[in-house]
Amino acid sequence: MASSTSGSSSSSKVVKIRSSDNENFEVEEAAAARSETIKKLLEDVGDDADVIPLPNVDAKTLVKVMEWCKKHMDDVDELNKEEMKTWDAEFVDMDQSCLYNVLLAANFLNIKELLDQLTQKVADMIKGKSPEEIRATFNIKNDFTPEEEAEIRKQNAWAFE
Amino acid sequence: MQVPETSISRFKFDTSYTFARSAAKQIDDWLSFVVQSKVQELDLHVRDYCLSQCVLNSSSLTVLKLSKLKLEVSSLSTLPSLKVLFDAYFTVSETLRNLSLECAHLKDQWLNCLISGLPQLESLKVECYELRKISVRSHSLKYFYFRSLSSIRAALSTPNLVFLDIANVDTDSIISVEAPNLIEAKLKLNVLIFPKGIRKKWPSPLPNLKHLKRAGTYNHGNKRVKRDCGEELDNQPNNMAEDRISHLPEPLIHHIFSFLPTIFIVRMSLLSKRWRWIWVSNPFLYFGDFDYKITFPDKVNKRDMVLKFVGNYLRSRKLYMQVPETSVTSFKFGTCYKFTHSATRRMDGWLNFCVQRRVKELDLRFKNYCLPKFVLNSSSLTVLKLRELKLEAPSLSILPSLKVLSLSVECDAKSLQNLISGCPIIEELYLRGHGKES
Repeated sequence: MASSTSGSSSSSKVVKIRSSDNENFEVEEAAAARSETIKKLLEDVGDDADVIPLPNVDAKTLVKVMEWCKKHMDDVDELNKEEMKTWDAEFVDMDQSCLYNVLLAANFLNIKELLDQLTQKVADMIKGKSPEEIRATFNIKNDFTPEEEAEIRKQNAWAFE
Repeated sequence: MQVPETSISRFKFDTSYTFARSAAKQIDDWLSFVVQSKVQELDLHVRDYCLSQCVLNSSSLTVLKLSKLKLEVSSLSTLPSLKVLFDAYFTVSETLRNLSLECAHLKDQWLNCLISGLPQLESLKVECYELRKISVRSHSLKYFYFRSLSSIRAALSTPNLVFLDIANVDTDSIISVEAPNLIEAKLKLNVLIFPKGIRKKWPSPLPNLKHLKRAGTYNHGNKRVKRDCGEELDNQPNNMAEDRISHLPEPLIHHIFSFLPTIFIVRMSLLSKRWRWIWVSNPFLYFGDFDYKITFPDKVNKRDMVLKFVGNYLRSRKLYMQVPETSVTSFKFGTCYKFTHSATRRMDGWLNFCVQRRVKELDLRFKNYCLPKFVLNSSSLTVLKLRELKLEAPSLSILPSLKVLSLSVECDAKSLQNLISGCPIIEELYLRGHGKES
Protein backbone atom coordinates (compact mmCIF):
# COMPACT_ATOMS: atom_id res chain seq x y z
CA MET A 1 0.00 0.00 0.00
CA ALA A 2 1.78 3.05 -1.20
CA SER A 3 -0.62 5.77 -0.24
CA SER A 4 -0.78 7.32 3.21
CA THR A 5 -3.37 6.27 5.72
CA SER A 6 -4.47 9.78 6.48
CA GLY A 7 -7.23 11.46 4.59
CA SER A 8 -10.66 10.21 3.65
CA SER A 9 -9.59 8.61 0.38
CA SER A 10 -7.17 6.10 1.86
CA SER A 11 -6.71 3.17 -0.49
CA SER A 12 -7.57 0.51 2.07
CA LYS A 13 -11.08 1.81 2.64
CA VAL A 14 -13.70 -0.82 2.10
CA VAL A 15 -17.23 -0.48 0.78
CA LYS A 16 -20.02 -3.01 1.07
CA ILE A 17 -22.12 -3.91 -1.91
CA ARG A 18 -25.01 -6.31 -2.22
CA SER A 19 -25.96 -8.37 -5.24
CA SER A 20 -29.50 -8.87 -6.53
CA ASP A 21 -29.58 -12.28 -4.84
CA ASN A 22 -28.60 -10.74 -1.51
CA GLU A 23 -24.97 -11.74 -1.29
CA ASN A 24 -22.86 -9.13 0.45
CA PHE A 25 -19.39 -8.27 -0.75
CA GLU A 26 -16.69 -6.12 0.72
CA VAL A 27 -14.59 -4.40 -1.87
CA GLU A 28 -11.82 -1.87 -1.67
CA GLU A 29 -13.26 1.52 -2.45
CA ALA A 30 -10.65 2.20 -5.12
CA ALA A 31 -11.77 -0.93 -6.96
CA ALA A 32 -15.49 -0.33 -6.55
CA ALA A 33 -15.06 3.26 -7.75
CA ARG A 34 -14.04 1.96 -11.18
CA SER A 35 -17.78 1.83 -11.57
CA GLU A 36 -19.06 5.33 -12.23
CA THR A 37 -22.44 4.25 -10.88
CA ILE A 38 -21.00 3.16 -7.53
CA LYS A 39 -18.67 6.13 -7.41
CA LYS A 40 -21.60 8.47 -7.85
CA LEU A 41 -23.63 6.66 -5.19
CA LEU A 42 -20.70 6.91 -2.77
CA GLU A 43 -20.41 10.62 -3.41
CA ASP A 44 -24.14 11.07 -2.87
CA VAL A 45 -24.46 9.14 0.36
CA GLY A 46 -21.04 9.94 1.76
CA ASP A 47 -19.40 7.92 4.50
CA ASP A 48 -22.50 6.71 6.27
CA ALA A 49 -23.42 4.38 3.46
CA ASP A 50 -24.26 1.00 4.87
CA VAL A 51 -24.55 -1.47 2.05
CA ILE A 52 -24.97 -0.40 -1.55
CA PRO A 53 -27.61 -2.56 -3.17
CA LEU A 54 -27.11 -3.44 -6.83
CA PRO A 55 -30.49 -4.78 -7.89
CA ASN A 56 -29.44 -5.61 -11.44
CA VAL A 57 -26.35 -7.70 -10.80
CA ASP A 58 -26.30 -11.20 -9.37
CA ALA A 59 -23.54 -12.51 -7.12
CA LYS A 60 -21.77 -14.58 -9.73
CA THR A 61 -21.58 -11.67 -12.14
CA LEU A 62 -20.56 -9.25 -9.42
CA VAL A 63 -17.64 -11.50 -8.45
CA LYS A 64 -16.47 -11.35 -12.05
CA VAL A 65 -16.88 -7.60 -12.38
CA MET A 66 -15.09 -6.92 -9.10
CA GLU A 67 -12.26 -9.23 -10.15
CA TRP A 68 -11.76 -6.92 -13.13
CA CYS A 69 -12.07 -3.77 -11.03
CA LYS A 70 -9.51 -5.01 -8.53
CA LYS A 71 -7.06 -5.74 -11.32
CA HIS A 72 -7.65 -2.33 -12.85
CA MET A 73 -7.66 -0.45 -9.58
CA ASP A 74 -4.28 1.22 -10.04
CA ASP A 75 -2.84 2.94 -13.03
CA VAL A 76 -0.80 0.62 -15.17
CA ASP A 77 2.75 1.61 -15.98
CA GLU A 78 4.28 0.88 -19.36
CA LEU A 79 6.10 -2.20 -18.08
CA ASN A 80 2.94 -3.96 -17.03
CA LYS A 81 0.84 -3.03 -20.03
CA GLU A 82 1.58 -6.24 -21.93
CA GLU A 83 0.88 -8.33 -18.89
CA MET A 84 -2.40 -6.51 -18.37
CA LYS A 85 -3.37 -7.06 -22.00
CA THR A 86 -2.87 -10.79 -21.58
CA TRP A 87 -4.87 -10.74 -18.39
CA ASP A 88 -7.70 -8.83 -20.05
CA ALA A 89 -7.77 -11.22 -23.00
CA GLU A 90 -8.07 -14.15 -20.62
CA PHE A 91 -10.68 -12.35 -18.59
CA VAL A 92 -13.08 -11.79 -21.49
CA ASP A 93 -12.63 -15.36 -22.66
CA MET A 94 -15.68 -16.69 -20.84
CA ASP A 95 -18.74 -18.62 -21.85
CA GLN A 96 -21.40 -16.65 -23.68
CA SER A 97 -24.01 -16.60 -20.95
CA CYS A 98 -21.49 -15.24 -18.50
CA LEU A 99 -20.24 -12.77 -21.10
CA TYR A 100 -23.67 -11.20 -21.54
CA ASN A 101 -24.26 -11.03 -17.80
CA VAL A 102 -20.97 -9.23 -17.26
CA LEU A 103 -21.68 -7.03 -20.29
CA LEU A 104 -25.05 -5.94 -18.92
CA ALA A 105 -23.50 -5.41 -15.49
CA ALA A 106 -20.65 -3.30 -16.91
CA ASN A 107 -23.28 -1.25 -18.70
CA PHE A 108 -25.39 -0.76 -15.57
CA LEU A 109 -22.36 -0.08 -13.37
CA ASN A 110 -20.97 2.23 -16.04
CA ILE A 111 -17.43 0.86 -16.32
CA LYS A 112 -16.45 2.15 -19.72
CA GLU A 113 -13.18 0.35 -20.20
CA LEU A 114 -14.66 -3.03 -19.27
CA LEU A 115 -17.66 -2.39 -21.49
CA ASP A 116 -15.32 -1.64 -24.39
CA GLN A 117 -13.38 -4.84 -23.81
CA LEU A 118 -16.52 -6.96 -23.69
CA THR A 119 -18.25 -5.42 -26.70
CA GLN A 120 -14.99 -5.76 -28.63
CA LYS A 121 -14.96 -9.44 -27.69
CA VAL A 122 -18.49 -9.96 -29.03
CA ALA A 123 -17.59 -8.01 -32.19
CA ASP A 124 -14.60 -10.32 -32.70
CA MET A 125 -16.97 -13.27 -32.52
CA ILE A 126 -19.04 -11.73 -35.34
CA LYS A 127 -16.22 -10.46 -37.53
CA GLY A 128 -15.60 -12.28 -40.79
CA LYS A 129 -18.53 -14.64 -40.42
CA SER A 130 -21.37 -15.24 -42.85
CA PRO A 131 -24.96 -14.74 -41.60
CA GLU A 132 -25.35 -18.51 -41.26
CA GLU A 133 -22.20 -18.76 -39.19
CA ILE A 134 -23.29 -15.87 -37.00
CA ARG A 135 -26.64 -17.55 -36.35
CA ALA A 136 -24.86 -20.72 -35.35
CA THR A 137 -22.41 -18.91 -33.08
CA PHE A 138 -25.10 -17.03 -31.17
CA ASN A 139 -28.00 -19.47 -31.47
CA ILE A 140 -30.09 -16.94 -33.35
CA LYS A 141 -33.23 -18.49 -34.75
CA ASN A 142 -34.02 -17.56 -38.32
CA ASP A 143 -37.66 -16.45 -38.19
CA PHE A 144 -37.91 -15.33 -41.82
CA THR A 145 -39.78 -17.26 -44.44
CA PRO A 146 -37.68 -18.08 -47.52
CA GLU A 147 -39.67 -15.39 -49.38
CA GLU A 148 -38.86 -12.74 -46.79
CA GLU A 149 -35.23 -13.73 -46.83
CA ALA A 150 -35.12 -13.40 -50.61
CA GLU A 151 -36.78 -10.00 -50.33
CA ILE A 152 -34.10 -8.72 -47.95
CA ARG A 153 -31.35 -10.01 -50.18
CA LYS A 154 -32.97 -8.17 -53.07
CA GLN A 155 -33.51 -4.97 -51.13
CA ASN A 156 -29.96 -4.88 -49.82
CA ALA A 157 -28.40 -6.46 -52.87
CA TRP A 158 -25.71 -3.79 -52.83
CA ALA A 159 -24.35 -5.31 -49.63
CA PHE A 160 -24.46 -8.91 -50.74
CA GLU A 161 -22.97 -8.68 -54.21
CA MET B 1 -14.60 -43.71 33.34
CA GLN B 2 -15.19 -46.65 35.65
CA VAL B 3 -18.39 -47.96 34.16
CA PRO B 4 -18.28 -49.17 30.57
CA GLU B 5 -18.34 -46.20 28.20
CA THR B 6 -21.86 -45.28 27.18
CA SER B 7 -22.46 -43.68 23.87
CA ILE B 8 -22.18 -39.98 22.99
CA SER B 9 -25.23 -38.70 21.18
CA ARG B 10 -23.95 -35.44 19.93
CA PHE B 11 -20.64 -33.67 19.60
CA LYS B 12 -20.69 -30.05 18.68
CA PHE B 13 -17.60 -27.91 18.31
CA ASP B 14 -17.84 -24.39 17.11
CA THR B 15 -15.02 -21.91 17.03
CA SER B 16 -13.99 -18.94 15.02
CA TYR B 17 -10.26 -19.46 15.67
CA THR B 18 -7.97 -20.98 13.15
CA PHE B 19 -5.85 -23.68 14.67
CA ALA B 20 -2.31 -24.70 14.08
CA ARG B 21 -1.48 -28.11 12.73
CA SER B 22 -0.76 -29.46 16.21
CA ALA B 23 -4.22 -28.43 17.38
CA ALA B 24 -5.75 -30.14 14.39
CA LYS B 25 -4.10 -33.32 15.59
CA GLN B 26 -5.86 -32.86 18.90
CA ILE B 27 -9.23 -32.40 17.22
CA ASP B 28 -8.51 -35.58 15.28
CA ASP B 29 -8.09 -37.37 18.61
CA TRP B 30 -11.34 -36.00 20.04
CA LEU B 31 -13.23 -37.01 16.96
CA SER B 32 -11.68 -40.42 17.04
CA PHE B 33 -12.89 -40.74 20.61
CA VAL B 34 -16.44 -39.63 19.86
CA VAL B 35 -16.64 -41.85 16.82
CA GLN B 36 -15.56 -44.81 18.96
CA SER B 37 -18.26 -43.78 21.41
CA LYS B 38 -20.81 -44.21 18.66
CA VAL B 39 -21.62 -40.57 18.20
CA GLN B 40 -24.81 -39.93 16.27
CA GLU B 41 -24.62 -36.23 15.56
CA LEU B 42 -21.56 -34.23 14.69
CA ASP B 43 -21.67 -30.50 14.27
CA LEU B 44 -18.33 -28.91 13.46
CA HIS B 45 -17.48 -25.37 12.65
CA VAL B 46 -13.71 -25.09 12.54
CA ARG B 47 -12.04 -22.94 10.01
CA ASP B 48 -9.61 -24.74 7.70
CA TYR B 49 -9.63 -27.91 9.70
CA CYS B 50 -9.29 -30.95 7.50
CA LEU B 51 -11.85 -33.50 8.57
CA SER B 52 -10.43 -36.68 9.98
CA GLN B 53 -10.97 -39.77 7.87
CA CYS B 54 -12.34 -41.70 10.87
CA VAL B 55 -15.46 -39.51 10.84
CA LEU B 56 -16.16 -40.44 7.25
CA ASN B 57 -16.15 -44.10 8.22
CA SER B 58 -18.37 -43.85 11.26
CA SER B 59 -21.07 -46.47 11.39
CA SER B 60 -23.17 -44.66 14.00
CA LEU B 61 -23.35 -41.16 12.52
CA THR B 62 -26.81 -40.00 11.51
CA VAL B 63 -26.32 -36.24 11.27
CA LEU B 64 -23.22 -34.53 9.99
CA LYS B 65 -23.03 -30.78 9.92
CA LEU B 66 -19.86 -29.26 8.64
CA SER B 67 -19.00 -25.66 8.21
CA LYS B 68 -15.88 -23.81 7.13
CA LEU B 69 -13.66 -26.82 7.20
CA LYS B 70 -11.79 -28.70 4.54
CA LEU B 71 -12.75 -32.05 3.21
CA GLU B 72 -10.49 -34.51 1.54
CA VAL B 73 -11.25 -38.10 0.85
CA SER B 74 -8.79 -40.60 -0.43
CA SER B 75 -10.93 -43.67 -0.27
CA LEU B 76 -14.60 -44.44 -0.38
CA SER B 77 -16.27 -43.36 2.79
CA THR B 78 -18.77 -45.56 4.49
CA LEU B 79 -21.37 -43.91 6.63
CA PRO B 80 -24.15 -46.48 6.66
CA SER B 81 -26.40 -44.68 9.16
CA LEU B 82 -26.10 -41.08 7.99
CA LYS B 83 -29.41 -39.41 7.27
CA VAL B 84 -28.60 -35.75 7.24
CA LEU B 85 -25.58 -34.14 5.72
CA PHE B 86 -25.78 -30.48 6.31
CA ASP B 87 -23.91 -27.40 5.26
CA ALA B 88 -21.10 -29.04 3.47
CA TYR B 89 -19.58 -25.67 2.94
CA PHE B 90 -16.20 -26.25 1.44
CA THR B 91 -13.72 -23.55 1.97
CA VAL B 92 -10.99 -23.83 -0.55
CA SER B 93 -7.61 -22.92 0.77
CA GLU B 94 -5.30 -20.68 -1.23
CA THR B 95 -3.17 -23.57 -2.42
CA LEU B 96 -6.19 -25.49 -3.62
CA ARG B 97 -7.55 -22.50 -5.46
CA ASN B 98 -4.59 -22.60 -7.73
CA LEU B 99 -5.58 -26.04 -8.84
CA SER B 100 -9.04 -24.82 -9.64
CA LEU B 101 -10.05 -27.15 -12.45
CA GLU B 102 -8.67 -30.27 -10.90
CA CYS B 103 -10.03 -29.19 -7.63
CA ALA B 104 -13.51 -28.87 -9.06
CA HIS B 105 -13.17 -32.27 -10.51
CA LEU B 106 -11.89 -33.73 -7.28
CA LYS B 107 -14.77 -32.30 -5.36
CA ASP B 108 -17.27 -33.86 -7.67
CA GLN B 109 -15.52 -37.16 -7.16
CA TRP B 110 -15.50 -36.57 -3.49
CA LEU B 111 -19.22 -36.02 -3.43
CA ASN B 112 -19.74 -39.05 -5.58
CA CYS B 113 -17.62 -41.11 -3.25
CA LEU B 114 -19.32 -39.74 -0.22
CA ILE B 115 -22.84 -40.11 -1.48
CA SER B 116 -22.34 -43.60 -2.79
CA GLY B 117 -21.19 -44.52 0.70
CA LEU B 118 -24.38 -43.20 2.27
CA PRO B 119 -27.17 -45.67 1.69
CA GLN B 120 -29.54 -43.86 4.05
CA LEU B 121 -28.86 -40.26 3.18
CA GLU B 122 -32.07 -38.31 3.04
CA SER B 123 -31.06 -34.68 3.02
CA LEU B 124 -28.17 -33.11 1.27
CA LYS B 125 -27.26 -29.48 1.28
CA VAL B 126 -24.31 -28.35 -0.69
CA GLU B 127 -22.99 -24.86 -1.09
CA CYS B 128 -19.91 -24.66 -3.12
CA TYR B 129 -19.00 -21.70 -5.21
CA GLU B 130 -16.52 -23.49 -7.35
CA LEU B 131 -18.15 -26.76 -8.08
CA ARG B 132 -18.81 -27.10 -11.79
CA LYS B 133 -19.91 -30.66 -12.17
CA ILE B 134 -21.96 -32.69 -9.84
CA SER B 135 -23.70 -36.00 -10.13
CA VAL B 136 -25.85 -37.40 -7.41
CA ARG B 137 -27.05 -40.97 -7.45
CA SER B 138 -28.94 -41.95 -4.38
CA HIS B 139 -31.95 -44.08 -3.68
CA SER B 140 -32.51 -42.64 -0.25
CA LEU B 141 -32.16 -38.93 -0.96
CA LYS B 142 -35.33 -36.94 -0.37
CA TYR B 143 -34.19 -33.36 0.01
CA PHE B 144 -31.52 -31.76 -2.04
CA TYR B 145 -30.40 -28.18 -1.74
CA PHE B 146 -27.63 -26.91 -3.93
CA ARG B 147 -25.99 -23.57 -4.46
CA SER B 148 -23.13 -22.67 -6.67
CA LEU B 149 -21.81 -19.56 -8.31
CA SER B 150 -20.48 -21.32 -11.33
CA SER B 151 -22.43 -22.58 -14.26
CA ILE B 152 -22.78 -26.24 -13.61
CA ARG B 153 -23.55 -29.52 -15.20
CA ALA B 154 -25.57 -31.57 -12.79
CA ALA B 155 -27.10 -34.98 -13.08
CA LEU B 156 -29.53 -36.19 -10.47
CA SER B 157 -30.56 -39.78 -10.39
CA THR B 158 -32.66 -39.74 -7.29
CA PRO B 159 -35.85 -41.81 -7.51
CA ASN B 160 -37.09 -40.79 -4.07
CA LEU B 161 -36.33 -37.10 -4.18
CA VAL B 162 -39.30 -35.00 -3.09
CA PHE B 163 -37.74 -31.58 -2.66
CA LEU B 164 -35.22 -29.88 -4.89
CA ASP B 165 -33.80 -26.42 -4.45
CA ILE B 166 -31.21 -25.31 -6.92
CA ALA B 167 -30.42 -21.65 -6.74
CA ASN B 168 -27.86 -19.13 -7.70
CA VAL B 169 -26.50 -21.20 -10.50
CA ASP B 170 -25.72 -19.54 -13.74
CA THR B 171 -28.50 -19.54 -16.27
CA ASP B 172 -26.57 -21.67 -18.68
CA SER B 173 -26.40 -24.50 -16.20
CA ILE B 174 -27.87 -27.76 -17.30
CA ILE B 175 -29.54 -29.99 -14.81
CA SER B 176 -30.47 -33.46 -15.82
CA VAL B 177 -33.11 -34.86 -13.52
CA GLU B 178 -34.44 -38.33 -12.92
CA ALA B 179 -36.73 -37.79 -9.97
CA PRO B 180 -40.24 -39.09 -10.64
CA ASN B 181 -41.37 -38.49 -7.07
CA LEU B 182 -40.44 -34.84 -6.94
CA ILE B 183 -43.20 -32.80 -5.33
CA GLU B 184 -41.65 -29.41 -4.82
CA ALA B 185 -38.92 -27.71 -6.78
CA LYS B 186 -37.35 -24.31 -6.53
CA LEU B 187 -35.27 -23.62 -9.53
CA LYS B 188 -33.27 -20.74 -10.69
CA LEU B 189 -32.12 -21.96 -14.00
CA ASN B 190 -33.29 -22.20 -17.52
CA VAL B 191 -32.75 -25.66 -18.73
CA LEU B 192 -33.93 -28.82 -17.16
CA ILE B 193 -33.49 -31.97 -19.14
CA PHE B 194 -34.46 -35.55 -18.64
CA PRO B 195 -32.21 -38.45 -19.42
CA LYS B 196 -32.98 -40.67 -22.35
CA GLY B 197 -35.33 -43.45 -21.55
CA ILE B 198 -37.10 -41.70 -18.72
CA ARG B 199 -40.04 -40.81 -20.91
CA LYS B 200 -40.54 -44.48 -21.57
CA LYS B 201 -40.34 -45.40 -17.91
CA TRP B 202 -42.72 -42.76 -16.60
CA PRO B 203 -45.84 -41.17 -18.08
CA SER B 204 -44.31 -37.76 -17.47
CA PRO B 205 -40.82 -36.91 -16.31
CA LEU B 206 -42.16 -35.26 -13.18
CA PRO B 207 -45.66 -36.68 -12.65
CA ASN B 208 -45.97 -35.69 -9.00
CA LEU B 209 -44.66 -32.16 -9.15
CA LYS B 210 -47.13 -29.84 -7.44
CA HIS B 211 -45.12 -26.80 -6.53
CA LEU B 212 -42.71 -25.24 -8.89
CA LYS B 213 -41.12 -21.98 -8.04
CA ARG B 214 -38.97 -20.51 -10.70
CA ALA B 215 -36.72 -17.56 -10.38
CA GLY B 216 -35.00 -17.55 -13.70
CA THR B 217 -34.15 -14.23 -15.20
CA TYR B 218 -35.23 -14.94 -18.73
CA ASN B 219 -38.74 -15.71 -19.87
CA HIS B 220 -37.38 -17.60 -22.76
CA GLY B 221 -35.88 -20.31 -20.63
CA ASN B 222 -38.60 -20.32 -18.05
CA LYS B 223 -41.12 -21.31 -20.62
CA ARG B 224 -39.01 -24.30 -21.32
CA VAL B 225 -38.79 -25.34 -17.68
CA LYS B 226 -42.50 -24.86 -17.35
CA ARG B 227 -43.20 -26.94 -20.35
CA ASP B 228 -40.85 -29.68 -19.35
CA CYS B 229 -42.40 -29.87 -15.93
CA GLY B 230 -45.90 -29.63 -17.29
CA GLU B 231 -48.06 -31.21 -19.92
CA GLU B 232 -46.18 -31.21 -23.15
CA LEU B 233 -43.64 -33.93 -23.42
CA ASP B 234 -42.83 -34.41 -27.03
CA ASN B 235 -39.94 -33.37 -29.16
CA GLN B 236 -37.52 -32.32 -26.51
CA PRO B 237 -35.10 -30.05 -28.34
CA ASN B 238 -31.56 -31.04 -27.62
CA ASN B 239 -30.12 -27.66 -28.37
CA MET B 240 -29.60 -26.21 -24.93
CA ALA B 241 -28.00 -22.91 -25.74
CA GLU B 242 -30.14 -19.82 -25.92
CA ASP B 243 -29.93 -16.66 -27.92
CA ARG B 244 -28.87 -13.88 -25.60
CA ILE B 245 -27.36 -11.45 -28.07
CA SER B 246 -30.75 -10.71 -29.66
CA HIS B 247 -32.10 -9.62 -26.29
CA LEU B 248 -29.42 -7.07 -25.57
CA PRO B 249 -30.62 -3.47 -25.47
CA GLU B 250 -30.07 -1.55 -28.69
CA PRO B 251 -27.37 0.83 -27.38
CA LEU B 252 -25.26 -2.19 -26.42
CA ILE B 253 -25.76 -3.76 -29.82
CA HIS B 254 -24.65 -0.48 -31.38
CA HIS B 255 -21.62 -0.50 -29.10
CA ILE B 256 -20.71 -3.93 -30.45
CA PHE B 257 -21.32 -2.65 -33.98
CA SER B 258 -18.86 0.18 -33.42
CA PHE B 259 -16.03 -2.34 -33.84
CA LEU B 260 -17.41 -3.82 -37.05
CA PRO B 261 -17.20 -2.72 -40.66
CA THR B 262 -20.64 -1.53 -41.73
CA ILE B 263 -20.92 -4.08 -44.52
CA PHE B 264 -21.20 -6.89 -41.95
CA ILE B 265 -23.90 -5.01 -40.11
CA VAL B 266 -26.03 -4.66 -43.22
CA ARG B 267 -25.55 -8.35 -43.95
CA MET B 268 -26.70 -9.16 -40.43
CA SER B 269 -30.17 -7.97 -41.46
CA LEU B 270 -30.59 -11.53 -42.73
CA LEU B 271 -30.20 -13.08 -39.28
CA SER B 272 -33.74 -12.65 -37.97
CA LYS B 273 -36.50 -10.08 -37.63
CA ARG B 274 -34.78 -8.59 -34.62
CA TRP B 275 -31.79 -7.75 -36.77
CA ARG B 276 -33.72 -6.67 -39.85
CA TRP B 277 -33.47 -2.90 -39.34
CA ILE B 278 -30.78 -2.36 -36.74
CA TRP B 279 -28.25 -1.28 -39.36
CA VAL B 280 -30.41 1.72 -40.27
CA SER B 281 -30.06 3.38 -36.88
CA ASN B 282 -26.49 2.32 -36.19
CA PRO B 283 -24.59 5.52 -35.37
CA PHE B 284 -21.14 4.08 -36.04
CA LEU B 285 -20.23 4.12 -39.71
CA TYR B 286 -17.16 2.14 -40.55
CA PHE B 287 -16.16 1.66 -44.13
CA GLY B 288 -12.87 -0.03 -44.57
CA ASP B 289 -10.88 -3.13 -44.04
CA PHE B 290 -12.43 -4.47 -47.20
CA ASP B 291 -9.88 -7.20 -47.19
CA TYR B 292 -11.90 -10.09 -45.82
CA LYS B 293 -12.39 -12.88 -48.29
CA ILE B 294 -16.06 -12.85 -47.49
CA THR B 295 -16.52 -9.12 -48.16
CA PHE B 296 -16.32 -9.14 -51.91
CA PRO B 297 -15.56 -11.94 -54.33
CA ASP B 298 -12.10 -11.67 -55.83
CA LYS B 299 -13.24 -11.07 -59.37
CA VAL B 300 -15.04 -7.76 -58.86
CA ASN B 301 -13.32 -4.43 -59.02
CA LYS B 302 -12.88 -3.71 -55.35
CA ARG B 303 -12.13 -0.07 -55.82
CA ASP B 304 -15.50 0.56 -57.39
CA MET B 305 -17.27 -1.72 -54.94
CA VAL B 306 -16.05 0.32 -51.98
CA LEU B 307 -17.41 3.54 -53.44
CA LYS B 308 -20.66 1.95 -54.55
CA PHE B 309 -21.19 0.42 -51.17
CA VAL B 310 -20.77 3.62 -49.18
CA GLY B 311 -23.06 5.51 -51.56
CA ASN B 312 -25.74 2.80 -51.46
CA TYR B 313 -25.52 2.50 -47.71
CA LEU B 314 -26.04 6.19 -47.05
CA ARG B 315 -28.87 6.39 -49.60
CA SER B 316 -30.69 3.36 -48.14
CA ARG B 317 -30.18 4.65 -44.65
CA LYS B 318 -31.96 7.87 -45.53
CA LEU B 319 -34.64 5.93 -47.37
CA TYR B 320 -35.51 3.52 -44.55
CA MET B 321 -35.14 5.90 -41.68
CA GLN B 322 -38.72 6.52 -40.59
CA VAL B 323 -37.90 9.06 -37.94
CA PRO B 324 -35.71 12.00 -38.85
CA GLU B 325 -32.10 10.92 -39.13
CA THR B 326 -30.52 10.72 -35.73
CA SER B 327 -26.93 11.56 -35.16
CA VAL B 328 -23.93 9.83 -36.64
CA THR B 329 -21.43 9.27 -33.86
CA SER B 330 -18.46 8.18 -35.87
CA PHE B 331 -17.42 7.89 -39.47
CA LYS B 332 -14.45 5.75 -40.28
CA PHE B 333 -13.21 5.29 -43.80
CA GLY B 334 -10.03 3.58 -44.78
CA THR B 335 -8.83 2.37 -48.11
CA CYS B 336 -5.53 1.71 -49.82
CA TYR B 337 -6.91 2.49 -53.27
CA LYS B 338 -6.30 5.73 -55.12
CA PHE B 339 -9.44 7.32 -56.42
CA THR B 340 -10.38 9.52 -59.28
CA HIS B 341 -11.46 13.11 -58.97
CA SER B 342 -15.17 12.22 -59.04
CA ALA B 343 -14.64 9.85 -56.14
CA THR B 344 -13.15 12.59 -53.99
CA ARG B 345 -16.20 14.74 -54.75
CA ARG B 346 -18.43 11.99 -53.44
CA MET B 347 -16.29 11.77 -50.34
CA ASP B 348 -16.88 15.49 -49.77
CA GLY B 349 -20.62 14.80 -49.89
CA TRP B 350 -20.41 11.98 -47.34
CA LEU B 351 -18.36 14.07 -44.95
CA ASN B 352 -20.85 16.89 -45.32
CA PHE B 353 -23.63 14.45 -44.43
CA CYS B 354 -21.72 13.35 -41.31
CA VAL B 355 -20.84 16.85 -40.15
CA GLN B 356 -24.49 17.86 -40.49
CA ARG B 357 -25.42 14.87 -38.30
CA ARG B 358 -23.03 16.24 -35.71
CA VAL B 359 -20.42 13.53 -36.07
CA LYS B 360 -18.10 13.23 -33.09
CA GLU B 361 -15.34 11.04 -34.44
CA LEU B 362 -13.76 11.08 -37.86
CA ASP B 363 -11.11 8.57 -38.85
CA LEU B 364 -9.98 8.82 -42.46
CA ARG B 365 -7.29 7.08 -44.45
CA PHE B 366 -7.52 8.04 -48.08
CA LYS B 367 -4.56 8.68 -50.37
CA ASN B 368 -4.29 12.06 -52.11
CA TYR B 369 -7.53 13.33 -50.71
CA CYS B 370 -7.65 16.91 -49.55
CA LEU B 371 -9.80 17.35 -46.48
CA PRO B 372 -12.61 19.87 -47.15
CA LYS B 373 -12.54 23.05 -45.08
CA PHE B 374 -15.95 22.57 -43.42
CA VAL B 375 -14.63 19.56 -41.50
CA LEU B 376 -12.14 21.85 -39.78
CA ASN B 377 -14.99 24.01 -38.51
CA SER B 378 -17.18 21.28 -37.09
CA SER B 379 -18.40 22.18 -33.62
CA SER B 380 -19.31 18.61 -32.64
CA LEU B 381 -16.04 16.90 -33.52
CA THR B 382 -14.16 15.44 -30.54
CA VAL B 383 -11.79 13.01 -32.25
CA LEU B 384 -10.07 13.59 -35.59
CA LYS B 385 -7.70 11.02 -37.01
CA LEU B 386 -6.25 11.54 -40.45
CA ARG B 387 -3.82 9.35 -42.36
CA GLU B 388 -2.30 9.60 -45.82
CA LEU B 389 -4.42 12.49 -47.00
CA LYS B 390 -3.61 16.12 -47.60
CA LEU B 391 -4.36 18.79 -45.08
CA GLU B 392 -4.58 22.42 -45.98
CA ALA B 393 -5.73 25.02 -43.54
CA PRO B 394 -5.08 28.43 -45.04
CA SER B 395 -7.06 30.17 -42.31
CA LEU B 396 -7.65 29.53 -38.62
CA SER B 397 -9.93 26.55 -37.98
CA ILE B 398 -12.56 26.33 -35.22
CA LEU B 399 -12.87 22.99 -33.49
CA PRO B 400 -14.26 23.89 -30.06
CA SER B 401 -14.93 20.29 -28.93
CA LEU B 402 -11.86 18.55 -30.27
CA LYS B 403 -9.95 16.51 -27.69
CA VAL B 404 -7.95 14.04 -29.72
CA LEU B 405 -6.05 14.90 -32.88
CA SER B 406 -3.96 12.33 -34.65
CA LEU B 407 -2.22 13.31 -37.86
CA SER B 408 -0.08 11.34 -40.24
CA VAL B 409 -0.60 13.58 -43.23
CA GLU B 410 0.97 15.83 -45.78
CA CYS B 411 0.76 19.24 -44.17
CA ASP B 412 2.77 22.44 -43.99
CA ALA B 413 3.70 24.15 -40.76
CA LYS B 414 1.32 27.05 -41.30
CA SER B 415 -1.69 24.75 -41.78
CA LEU B 416 -0.74 22.77 -38.72
CA GLN B 417 -0.53 25.90 -36.67
CA ASN B 418 -3.90 27.11 -37.95
CA LEU B 419 -5.42 23.78 -37.06
CA ILE B 420 -4.01 23.39 -33.57
CA SER B 421 -4.68 27.02 -32.63
CA GLY B 422 -8.37 26.35 -33.25
CA CYS B 423 -8.57 23.57 -30.65
CA PRO B 424 -9.02 25.17 -27.21
CA ILE B 425 -9.61 21.98 -25.20
CA ILE B 426 -7.29 19.54 -26.94
CA GLU B 427 -6.00 16.76 -24.68
CA GLU B 428 -4.11 14.39 -26.95
CA LEU B 429 -2.07 15.24 -29.98
CA TYR B 430 -0.27 12.70 -32.15
CA LEU B 431 1.84 13.84 -35.07
CA ARG B 432 3.70 11.71 -37.52
CA GLY B 433 5.47 13.75 -40.15
CA HIS B 434 5.08 13.59 -43.88
CA GLY B 435 6.92 16.17 -45.94
CA LYS B 436 7.17 19.76 -44.94
CA GLU B 437 6.11 19.70 -41.30
CA SER B 438 8.36 21.53 -38.87
